[in-house]
Amino acid sequence: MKQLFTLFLLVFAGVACSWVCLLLVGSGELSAGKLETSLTVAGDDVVLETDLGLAARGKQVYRELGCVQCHTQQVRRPGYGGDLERGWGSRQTVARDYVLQDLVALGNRRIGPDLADVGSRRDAEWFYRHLYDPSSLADWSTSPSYAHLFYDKEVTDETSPTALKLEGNDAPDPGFERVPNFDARALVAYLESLKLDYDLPESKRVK
Amino acid sequence: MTVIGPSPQPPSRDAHGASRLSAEIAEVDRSIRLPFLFFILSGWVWLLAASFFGYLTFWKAHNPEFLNAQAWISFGRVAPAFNAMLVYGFACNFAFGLGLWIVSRLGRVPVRYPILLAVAAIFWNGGVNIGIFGILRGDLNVFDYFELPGYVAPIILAGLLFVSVWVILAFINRRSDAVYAAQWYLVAGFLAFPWIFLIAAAMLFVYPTAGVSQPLVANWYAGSLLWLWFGSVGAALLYYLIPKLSGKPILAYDLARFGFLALVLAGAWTGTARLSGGPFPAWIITVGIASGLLLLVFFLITGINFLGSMSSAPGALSGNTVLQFAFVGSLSLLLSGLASALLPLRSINEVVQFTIVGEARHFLLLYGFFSMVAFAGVYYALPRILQQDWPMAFMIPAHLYTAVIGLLLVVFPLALGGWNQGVALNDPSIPFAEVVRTATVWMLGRSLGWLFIIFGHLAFSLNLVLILVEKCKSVCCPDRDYAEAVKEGVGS
Repeated sequence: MKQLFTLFLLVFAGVACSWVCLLLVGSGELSAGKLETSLTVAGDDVVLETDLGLAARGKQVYRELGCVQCHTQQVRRPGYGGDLERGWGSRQTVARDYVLQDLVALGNRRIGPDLADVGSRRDAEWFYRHLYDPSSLADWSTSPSYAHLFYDKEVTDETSPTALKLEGNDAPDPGFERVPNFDARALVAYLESLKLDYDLPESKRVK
Repeated sequence: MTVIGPSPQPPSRDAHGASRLSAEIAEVDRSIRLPFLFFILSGWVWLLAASFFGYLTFWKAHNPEFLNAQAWISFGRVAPAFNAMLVYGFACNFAFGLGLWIVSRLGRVPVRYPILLAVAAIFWNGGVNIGIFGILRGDLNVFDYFELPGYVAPIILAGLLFVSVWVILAFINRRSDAVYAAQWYLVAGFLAFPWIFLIAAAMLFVYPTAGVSQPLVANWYAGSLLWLWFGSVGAALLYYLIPKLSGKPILAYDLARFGFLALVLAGAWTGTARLSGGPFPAWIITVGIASGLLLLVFFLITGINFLGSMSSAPGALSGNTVLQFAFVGSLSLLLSGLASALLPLRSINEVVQFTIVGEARHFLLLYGFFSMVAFAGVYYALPRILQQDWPMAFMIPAHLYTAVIGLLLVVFPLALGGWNQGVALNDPSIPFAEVVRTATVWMLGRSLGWLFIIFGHLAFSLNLVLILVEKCKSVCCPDRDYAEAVKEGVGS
């Protein structure tokens, strides 16, 4: 029993100390209790919000499709890598940017570009086109197509604003249009919401 | 600190003592047969599934339209499913079976109620099964090493606790006075794994934290899982197998305790190093980097101890394929350990972060180190537990050589390509298209290497199936050899 007790104490010391110091103290420092979410920065009011409505569902679609396997959502500080120079954001991301999010997909791989500020770079039409057929926008892209998020719908009164503009073999039958399903619309709403278009006291945009 | 005191004296070598010892060991081997087979066969089925999903994952990385018509088979689902199969399906099952066996054998204590351990295996594998289906239908998580949906956590934790309790009971009830390094590592690993798993599941799913605490918890868990669990069990296997296979004691056994202390005390602190550059306070990352450097004590002592012991026994390695598996595992432990300690250093991390260098390190650790050592363990243990030789012994070297070629083809292109990818990524004058092309070309090596590795798995499978067939034959028809001999005699 003595040996087991010694082993237990050693494992306890390793796991419990790291748990308390890193996770409990660390989480406390990074929580909404510690980081103010409505503040004034250089005269502008900044109110951080959690994703609501369609974008909230879109974030779950982002998780379900495993987008995090290839995309990060974090901009590293100036001088550490070339994230700002690549135009992936005009400032680094900080803990406060994520503080109200119930799902934080920071990511560990950049097979594709960073998406922390992708809503500032692209619009809905581009997102739909990219989801449907990435190679039509970039022949070098290794992103898979998400064509299964689209379906053909009979054109009734007028064409839907979100219908894809397709030509040739890929075009739907006459009288039909190819439109995104609910998940695709939610995902695009979420991607459009990913914007670093505000300043925080600890991270201000580089003009 | 008796537990990590000087090396225990070998048991007495008089004839009576030796025969009693071998009788006790035979009893242990008999008692563990059912749960051992349960764990190893489950791990083997997961290995085959992972072989297929690995191929899909790696091939899709450069052919995005390959089998992409539905969400469940798209890259974003098969990649996490593959990782979960490899980690929780294959590697954990092998770790459970071999860990139980070694702790029982070193303590010379037969496994009690082996049927309950089979129930534990059903819980674990049932949970992983549900989890994999969950991943494929879209219930996956965004965290590396915790891709399984939160709802399977209670099921697999139940299975895990069962196995852990059995390991600890086997340690408490041991009949031998001596405590060996393999036992410290195993007990520590089996104490730590349920605990870190419980903390991660609780903080991610039961009482989910908001904000970047989530990636903090997930990375803490990933680092702890890799070193406290796979590092401990892998080191235990090597401490047990190398002296048995080479016939020589561990070179500097007295140093082993320092390596163990470093692993147990620093192992749970390393995961946060990966968050470097991210939205975290600097101290959290610095702690991770520093403990990674502290783990160098473990990597260097174990790595040099194992490699040194094998090379100090002249001729032991040549022709001893199982020991060669252990050799490849030890070398990979040393290399992946050095990579884990040095890659997070900020000047290096700035280049390699987010690149495929991370995949190279992960593969070297999980496959090059742990899996190779686990294969050595099964090749050594199963013939003893079943009392049956491997029917196709020539397939063992075939497994080894294909695995080594595969490892080289996976790890080196990913490491070199990842470095190039990182340099290009940090140079804004290089278009992103060029960065993607750079990385994609190097990934071809991984796809090719994985084909070699699959071939090795098939060689392993052939032996595994045949040894069971042979065993069944000898159990069902014990007089068959005699009957055949008589028939042949009559024929001639």
